[in-house]
Amino acid sequence: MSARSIFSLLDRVGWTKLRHARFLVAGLGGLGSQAAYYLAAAGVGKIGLVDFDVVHPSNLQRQIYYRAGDVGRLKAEVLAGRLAELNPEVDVEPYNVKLSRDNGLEAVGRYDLVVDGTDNYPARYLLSDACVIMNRPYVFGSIYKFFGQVSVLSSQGGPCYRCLYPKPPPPGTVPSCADGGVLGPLPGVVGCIQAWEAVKVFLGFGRPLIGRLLVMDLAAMDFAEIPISRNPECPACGENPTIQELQDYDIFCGINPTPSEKEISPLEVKNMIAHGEDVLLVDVRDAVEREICRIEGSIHIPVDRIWEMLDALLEHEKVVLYCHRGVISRMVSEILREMGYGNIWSMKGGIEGWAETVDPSTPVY
Amino acid sequence: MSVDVDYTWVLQNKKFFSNLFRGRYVALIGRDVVGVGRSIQEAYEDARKRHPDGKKTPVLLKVDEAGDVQLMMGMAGG
Repeated sequence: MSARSIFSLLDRVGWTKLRHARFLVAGLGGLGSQAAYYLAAAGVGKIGLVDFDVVHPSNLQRQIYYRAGDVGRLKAEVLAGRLAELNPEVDVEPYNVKLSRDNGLEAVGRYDLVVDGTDNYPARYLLSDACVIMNRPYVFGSIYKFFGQVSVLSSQGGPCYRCLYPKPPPPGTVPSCADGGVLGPLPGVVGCIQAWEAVKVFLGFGRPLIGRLLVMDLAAMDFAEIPISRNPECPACGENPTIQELQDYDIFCGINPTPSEKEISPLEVKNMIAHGEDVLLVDVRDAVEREICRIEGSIHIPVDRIWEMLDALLEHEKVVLYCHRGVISRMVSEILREMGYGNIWSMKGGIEGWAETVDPSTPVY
Repeated sequence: MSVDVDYTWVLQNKKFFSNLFRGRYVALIGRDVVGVGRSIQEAYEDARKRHPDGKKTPVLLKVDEAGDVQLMMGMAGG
């Protein structure tokens, strides 16, 4: 691809440097795929693409480099193909893996910087710690509903992700992008800014978002900057760091990968209802998802409102929460049980599990 | 410095925010409301006036005109 348009912006030294740059884009959803596409177009020499997930139909409205025909295919491989079509001079390396304590440092160490497009806390803490340990800039971006944040972390003495967010939120208290809903232009804007910041910090021009958190509300089109600074007591990048190697980030973030005793199968739920047991079935998904499909007889309390309705849940012998795939409802039920609500259960597999084992006529998405 | 936010407390007190701060951005440190404004910058500047030492970074909430309360920071969506 011709870089003539870039020559007018960068001098030859900068352009040559960019052609030898190695950027790792982790997470190839709305943010990562957008950033990667612009970085390839700009002529970044080598781009690593990390994601172990496949393209889902629900991704297509915001992850615009995937097409309907890509559903079910690995994102890293699909996107690698798209970048190669766009700019054959870029060396693209797809990794169909989940980053972990075993491979995180090696992956980050092979690149000059990391653009974070992941959608979960364990991955974000892992990438941040790996960047601090390997001394790589970490271009942070995140989105939710109408809101976005961007910053350049772990760079030039600035703060790291742990300086800003020392602790992850309790599981289930902050909905994911898929649960919260997001429209494509938001990750488009944020992913573009991340790509731009990555180029700036790598080439050393302009004023990268180091020590500054860009916060935006696209509903109001309101952008603001919040100064952020390094925490001298940060366990990762502080004066006496204790994090010298990667950890198990699922445990750090309170995510229990083992099946919960308080999970109940869709078939059991169906039988309880059929036998007239005092069961309140609660759909904790977003209103848009509920319009697509629902279990008859269930009530709707979106996950972010359930905390206001706790007293009502005590009135029933059993309360069964369900979500899309059973992940959010399990997290919420575990938190509520810890708070003393012993009658709360989670339906295993969510409404997808229900469609699979109880009612195949239920639309899946 | 770091963001100090009690996520569960925010969720449990949505009605409080909804009733008092409709149409505004709210800056929180821990469980304290430290700033309110019609724009993000205004809420942040309000927080800086009350906590000039800057030892904590406030977290921002948006309470829209319908009273819906949304946390603007700390999410992990990608």
